[in-house]
Amino acid sequence: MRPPSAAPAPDRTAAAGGRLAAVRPAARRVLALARAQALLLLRNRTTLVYAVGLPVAPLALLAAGPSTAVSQAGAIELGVLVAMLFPVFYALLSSVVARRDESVLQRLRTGELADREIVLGLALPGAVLGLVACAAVVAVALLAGVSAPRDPLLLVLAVLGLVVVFSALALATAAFSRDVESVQLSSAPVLLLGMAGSFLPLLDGPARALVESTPGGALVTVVRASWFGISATDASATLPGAAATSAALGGLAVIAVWTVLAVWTARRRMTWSPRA
Amino acid sequence: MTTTRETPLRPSAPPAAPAAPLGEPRGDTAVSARGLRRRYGGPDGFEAVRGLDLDVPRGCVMALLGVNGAGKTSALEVIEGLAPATGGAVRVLGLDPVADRRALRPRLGVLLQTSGLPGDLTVLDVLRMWAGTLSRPRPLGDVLDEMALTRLAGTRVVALSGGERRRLDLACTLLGSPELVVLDEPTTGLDPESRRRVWGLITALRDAGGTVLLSTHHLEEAEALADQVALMATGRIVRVGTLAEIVADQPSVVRYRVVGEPGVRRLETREPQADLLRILAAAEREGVRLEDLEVRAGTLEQVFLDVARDAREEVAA
Repeated sequence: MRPPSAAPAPDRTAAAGGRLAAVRPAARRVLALARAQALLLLRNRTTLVYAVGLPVAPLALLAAGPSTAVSQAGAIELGVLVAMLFPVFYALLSSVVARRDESVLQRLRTGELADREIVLGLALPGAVLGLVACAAVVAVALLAGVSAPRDPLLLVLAVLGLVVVFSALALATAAFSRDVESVQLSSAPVLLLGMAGSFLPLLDGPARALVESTPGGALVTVVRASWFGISATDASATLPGAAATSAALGGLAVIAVWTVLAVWTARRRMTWSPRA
Repeated sequence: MTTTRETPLRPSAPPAAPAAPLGEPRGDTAVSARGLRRRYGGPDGFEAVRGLDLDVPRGCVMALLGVNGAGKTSALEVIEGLAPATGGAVRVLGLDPVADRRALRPRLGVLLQTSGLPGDLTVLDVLRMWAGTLSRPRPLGDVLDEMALTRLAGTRVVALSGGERRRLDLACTLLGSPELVVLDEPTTGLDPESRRRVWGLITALRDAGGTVLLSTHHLEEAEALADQVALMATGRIVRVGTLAEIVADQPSVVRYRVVGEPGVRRLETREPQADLLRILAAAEREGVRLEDLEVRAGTLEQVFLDVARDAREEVAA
């Protein structure tokens, strides 16, 4: 037993203080870059329309007041998907590729920013816009008379996970994008992976299992389970609480696997310089 | 009368650092590289840096000179920690530029060959962003004044001229008061006035105790700024020393015209005083008049051209 005088508390406090002291400058650096990135987003009209304008469109579907749980879920899923694809995925992908073309990424690496801080700083404005768009989807849905989510915590976790996975997919896609023009083609796989979830209710057998394992399939699964407590593949079946939680957790696991895969790909393949 | 070529360019110029044994980077230098190698594209790829040995003493301006493709930028990128070496060892301010990146960055200022600044940000936005990422940023107003960018603070980068953009890039480099500054062709694209301004900044940095390693194509830049010069060819340092040491083994050149005869006569000599007296005596004896008579010591340009020629011959062989 440790004698009272040898209490480790001060050491732990010091260690925690040291970690905090290290985190603060890192956060300051990330925020400085994120602020600049937000300015760039606001000053580029095309990016702004993609990042802010497009996520507003699905809200009209919700405002029209879909009556059944399935149609309500469909409208919400579309809103969340658009929020992930445009402000999060496309904004980060085009930023990374354009900044790399302009040697901005290489320039940033000459300073005190660590590589992960550069990525975070570039991703942050799009991620915030994506979260705001999702919050708008929830607000409009509730105003339109849709019942409140059954498991808000899982829903929040899912949205955060989706922001992370679509950011990671943007970095992985950037690794395969030679320049800004090539983004139109290189982004197609992620577009398909995201939209695949819309077909989930129509599929069965191996095709259904395949689509369930895509980020889009996970999005549909987790939204339906955590908000409405229904299955992604059989909307007529209301899931008991534990089964809904289990389904949502399954969706989250798929999101986690895609995140790991995308981060691994980006770390192996992404270059910081157009010369590399 | 005797002539000497050992007078240093400036009294404050630090002495040349004797080379340390291979594989042992020096601890008392700002940059120390031994047998540094950098290869692109795997084991069979192109090797841009092929066993580079270099010591940059602290408090010194060292100019890295070389023709296009000599490997200057590739070597600097390794020193800056932007690319790993494929062989050899390098220490920057006593640290490994890749493994100790976090500790090194606040002490190191880097200017890349190509400016990488977002076009839609203003000059002030760029400096604010950069300052926000630094441990010890200087006041932005001071840096704007120093770089003559104050009136352009609200101008977007995309609207700046090449020289203005380069000055902004350099402002970012110096914003954190670095101990060591690595500049890859800092004055390329600058007008003469801007170039002089940058030269003044580099000199002031050195006078304040900082160290500068710069690559350049401009020989007059090396002559005006460098305490030490390193000539690079085919991925290696082939000559290094003070300017006086570099040109010491070059012959002097005597040029003159004989009035009434076409053309300029040129004589390379290692005994300029004796040869000049001989020429003047011959002119007196033959009753001819000389004009435009000049004697020039060996030049860095001649050394540079010799090195470039040797490199071409090596590549051809």
